[in-house]
Amino acid sequence: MEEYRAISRMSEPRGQGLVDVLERVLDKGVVIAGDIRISLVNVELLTIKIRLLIASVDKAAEMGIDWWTRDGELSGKAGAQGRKQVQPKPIRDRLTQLEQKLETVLNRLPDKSGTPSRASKRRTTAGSRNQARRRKNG
Amino acid sequence: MASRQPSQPRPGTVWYVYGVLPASASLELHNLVPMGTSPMVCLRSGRLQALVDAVSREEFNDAAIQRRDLRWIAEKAQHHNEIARLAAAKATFVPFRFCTVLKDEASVLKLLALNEGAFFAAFAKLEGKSEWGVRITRTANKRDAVKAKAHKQEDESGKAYLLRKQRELRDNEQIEQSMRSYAEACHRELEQLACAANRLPGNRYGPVNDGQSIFSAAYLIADSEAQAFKQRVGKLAEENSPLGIKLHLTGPWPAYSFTDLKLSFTGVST
Repeated sequence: MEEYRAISRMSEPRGQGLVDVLERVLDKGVVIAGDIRISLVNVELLTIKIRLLIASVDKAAEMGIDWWTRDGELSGKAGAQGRKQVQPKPIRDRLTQLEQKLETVLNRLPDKSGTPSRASKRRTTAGSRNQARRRKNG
Repeated sequence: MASRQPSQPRPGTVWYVYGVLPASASLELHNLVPMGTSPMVCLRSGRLQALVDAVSREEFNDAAIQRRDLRWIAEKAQHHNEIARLAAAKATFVPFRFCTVLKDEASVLKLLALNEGAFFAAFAKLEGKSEWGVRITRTANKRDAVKAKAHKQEDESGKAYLLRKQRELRDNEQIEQSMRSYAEACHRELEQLACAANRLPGNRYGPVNDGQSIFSAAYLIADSEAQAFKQRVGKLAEENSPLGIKLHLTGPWPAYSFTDLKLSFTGVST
């Protein structure tokens, strides 16, 4: 039964990965207007809830716990490659922020390499003060 | 004919609707694996039939869905797609959104009866055509090339490090921009072979297999043109590969992206 095998193969790598499937089954296709929720026909619309759930899952992805997109079983060949490459976004963002801050700090320093920087000047001053103190004590 | 007369489903079940097709079409229902425990059925009303699955109300209700984990969603989404794909391969099929569950058989039949016109308009648009997807990713190699170009020196000062980072960022942005323009050019070319084209969000549901996704779209292609479309995608993939983008062809899909129907039960009096 070819179709049956197709189902059992569902989780194996194919042209269409999980992301492609979700993009379509969650966002596209025929919908039934939300007002039937309160109509007498009494239909249960799960789609909206599903989308809410996915929205909170998006946050999980930002935090780097998007296991399902990297799970080879679920999203085809994503597994092997994805796991190596993923760098959690918050860490990347934080790194960029830190780099920017560092640059503004460094830009305030004197430009010529010959001139000692403020930091090293401070160190020298502190050093000579210590020397002076040592001389006094000795 | 693979449909049946209205009857009472087992207690505690609701109808999961995969999609709608003309009553004249026939599916090999015994080949479709249901989500529930009963065989898949087609419910008919007039010139229409709905492909449905009696699923457990325990499993498919708002509260239960709230507690589901992503593995459940991923499995059911793939399952939904697989059924829709097999149906679309046999008939003009209007796919429904994931987890559309109706209370009982009467609701399904009412939905069909009240929206027959809309369904037939959709059939007319989709007949003899299929949805194909093209996703374009930026290949990792190009990014690595940028990094390698501005190669790190052994004992670079803090400032040199930051300047290098800034340079990398700027190069990266420029590359990103040109990649997007290559993708747009591909889209314009593919669009000309399509009866309709729709862009997709591309990265709403997380990263994709192969590099960073910069473009995703769906194309409605006449089945007689499918071969030409595939060849064109192949040709574009070849041409653009040295430029650092990769084209991924998916499909044929059920025509999810070309059935933006919003149905209603308005007017129903019970």
